[in-house]
Amino acid sequence: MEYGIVSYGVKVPVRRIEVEKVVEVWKNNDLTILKNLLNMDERAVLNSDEDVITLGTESAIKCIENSGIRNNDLDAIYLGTSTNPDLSKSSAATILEMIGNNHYAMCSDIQFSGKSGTSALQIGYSLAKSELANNIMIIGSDAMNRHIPPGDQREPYAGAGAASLLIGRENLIAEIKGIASYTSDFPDDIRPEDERYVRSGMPLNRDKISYGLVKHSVKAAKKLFNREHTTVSDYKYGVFQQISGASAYAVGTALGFKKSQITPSIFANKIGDTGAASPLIGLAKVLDVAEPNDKILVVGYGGGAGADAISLKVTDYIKEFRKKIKSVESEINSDIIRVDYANAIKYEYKYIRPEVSFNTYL
Amino acid sequence: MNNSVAIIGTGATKKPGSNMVEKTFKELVVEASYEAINNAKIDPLLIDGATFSFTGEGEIGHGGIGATLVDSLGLAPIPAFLNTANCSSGSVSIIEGYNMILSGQYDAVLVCGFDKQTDIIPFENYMLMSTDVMYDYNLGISHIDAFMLADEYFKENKVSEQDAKNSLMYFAKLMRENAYHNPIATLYKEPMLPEEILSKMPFNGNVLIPGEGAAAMILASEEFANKYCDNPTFIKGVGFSTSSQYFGHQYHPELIQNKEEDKPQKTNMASGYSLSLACKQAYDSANIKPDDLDILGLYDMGVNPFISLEAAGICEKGTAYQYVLDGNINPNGKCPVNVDGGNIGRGHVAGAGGIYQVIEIVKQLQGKARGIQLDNKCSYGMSTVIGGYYATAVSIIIGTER
Amino acid sequence: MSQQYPEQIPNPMVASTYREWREQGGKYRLEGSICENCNSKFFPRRSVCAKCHSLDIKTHQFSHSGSIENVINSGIHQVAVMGYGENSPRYIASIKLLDGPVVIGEIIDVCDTSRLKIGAEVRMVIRKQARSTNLNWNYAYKFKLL
Repeated sequence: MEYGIVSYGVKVPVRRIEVEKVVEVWKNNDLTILKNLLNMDERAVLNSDEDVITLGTESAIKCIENSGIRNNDLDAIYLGTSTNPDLSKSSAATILEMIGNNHYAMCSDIQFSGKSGTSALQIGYSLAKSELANNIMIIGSDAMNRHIPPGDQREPYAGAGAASLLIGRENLIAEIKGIASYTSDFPDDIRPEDERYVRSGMPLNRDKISYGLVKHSVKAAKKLFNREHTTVSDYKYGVFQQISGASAYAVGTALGFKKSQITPSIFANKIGDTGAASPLIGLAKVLDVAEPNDKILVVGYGGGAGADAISLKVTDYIKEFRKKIKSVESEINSDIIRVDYANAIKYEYKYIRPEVSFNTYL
Repeated sequence: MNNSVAIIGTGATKKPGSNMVEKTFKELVVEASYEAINNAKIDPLLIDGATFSFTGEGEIGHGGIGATLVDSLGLAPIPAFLNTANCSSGSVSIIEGYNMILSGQYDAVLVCGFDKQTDIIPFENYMLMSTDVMYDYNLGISHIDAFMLADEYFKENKVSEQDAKNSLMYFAKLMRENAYHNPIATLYKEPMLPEEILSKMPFNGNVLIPGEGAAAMILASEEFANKYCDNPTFIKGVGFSTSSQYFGHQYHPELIQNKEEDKPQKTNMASGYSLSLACKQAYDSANIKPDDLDILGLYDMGVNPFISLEAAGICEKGTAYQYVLDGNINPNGKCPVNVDGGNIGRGHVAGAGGIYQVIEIVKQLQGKARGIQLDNKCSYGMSTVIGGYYATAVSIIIGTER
Repeated sequence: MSQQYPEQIPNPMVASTYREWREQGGKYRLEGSICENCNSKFFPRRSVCAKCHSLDIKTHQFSHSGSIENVINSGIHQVAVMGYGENSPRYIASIKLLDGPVVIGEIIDVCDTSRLKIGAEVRMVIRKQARSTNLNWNYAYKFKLL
């Protein structure tokens, strides 16, 4: 019996701000580095009425519609997020209420910065494989842009988005073959209790990337290769954490992937860092073009730090599935609204204002 | 015995479109009520019941306000009733007073509506909260949106954009003209705004001016009026219908459960069905027809004047904008409307509702208008108001004969 | 209102979370009511049938798709509802759902205003509403052009 992905859905905000507009205001960044080295054009801006929960719900609803199961057939729902709108209670519970009513589903939020989504996926796969649950909704959703300080060097590429995967054992479009992880206490990004903004604990240079993102991702992937008795040449596609438009290439080439095997997953050049959603959106984007029997390696990375590696094999059913859904490419690149910096700050609630709303004094 | 209730005295604070920051709500109520009592020339202790109206406790910050007001007026121990119905509160209180007199239990009733909007900062928001809150205000949707959605009036009657603009602006200018001559109006002697400025305002200038004030009247039984008053006017007929605060329900005429044969199959924000029901009730109980009216008061805001004119039966459905453009509602026209300037020119106190309208009609019928006095002898006038967005609709007919 | 001064602001009108919790069905899933006796459907929910006055009334989830009956570019800016100022201009619309009732809602993420016309198809999405007086987040339906 095989277990894996039955369906997926992706949702990103429609608003964008170009990197030039951010650099124009702060003049603390080099445009050539941003555009050429980090491969960034623009990033997503949340509307004033969007957050992790609204993005997560919309991606979950699309996932369910694409799959054909009824809303209240879910056995479990896990939300991977590092920018939770509520600091104690579960936002997955709110999403569960929004999409339908199986109050008996197993439910929790999973938190491990950028790898919250892949950790949730590993947990979902474990539940499926142990046959403790069948239809499991895994959501990765983050709004990094809401939690980046104005004037921060990473502001031009902090984005937001959500992706949902339905895990089960029938009508699979991709089988999950194996999982592995690597974790260590490496404080590269920190957000101590009750702080709004995610800060870098280390200077932003190559060492942070190589000791953090690259090292942990490579170790997790190599452990997976070991377990499965595979090498990089067995894989058609590699999906890695997209903190910017270029970070996935740093990991992929360190593992031995060719750039052309990584490019189909790249979306962060237009959306920015989507945190927990990043590996899942990358995977969904690859599933738009993958062929039956292709093997895909997904490695999610979360600062703090850890990496999850997951290997998948695409099934024959993918062709039929793709016929009835909108491509991820069209989902994330249609009906874009470009905004300027003043509006982006307004939408992301970064202006300092009194706590009580008087609006118009009338 | 017929269903006539006499109006023996009226009183109201000036400039209802302006704020009275030096006065408390108690002072406003006392000022208006005692002006009415002195106008009626009666001993205050002859009043044996009262009904007050306002938009709600949240803005005044006082609960159980009936007793507070009776005490402020020095009239304890008379019974006091309260009404809240958004902008039609005052008219609802008039109907309550009317019912009190007709029950035979009361001889003279004080009706007083008031509002004090500056005691909280976001007063307009407090007003907008009186909707179906969980599905309107809490979703950021308000009465203002409902008034804007009423532009369905122009779309369904295929009115050209030019005609729509002209008719709205004609009405706005007329209200300002009327108010210019009325000493108690907020826009008294205010120079007219040029058309370029009016056209940039919402609804081409058809926006009411909200303010603070109080308006009162003394209602009495025929017997009492015969004894104490030498020129009473009479409430000849009333109509009062409710629908729903949720704006979506304006599209569902099946929710209105009256047994009328020619109920419309489809309604929308521009239908004014509740008001036409209220007007019909009033005409039936007064036993008159729309042609018998010499003066009309209506709730002027946005496109509502046209909807009200049609609901009151003054002109055919879909023709009110032309009726207005043809000069029929001018003071010297076929059916003068809002001769005191209306909510747009005179000003609007939410809790006093149509009481200011009724007072103007009474003064016109008595020949004692403070602003423009209609030339022709007036026998009948009708006041129409809506509360919320057609959540309540009230119609009151005043006449000179018993 | 700086949060650094410890003197608290007493406000007797702070809402509890109960009211919003009770309406979750309506706000999250467009649930209204259906009368078991005469099959009439209502939105928002009610506890007695408005047509036959039967008390036999159950929850009914309406279609999340509909079309625009009328739409406006809201407002008179001086009188905006508190808590929604970041989103101006707001397009408030009367929307006829596929299976019956007319719902009033906001149409969001409009990138091309020429597509906002009577008859345009819309679909429900869930978005944040104004924050509650007890500082909790609130969510409810809005609509998006298809």
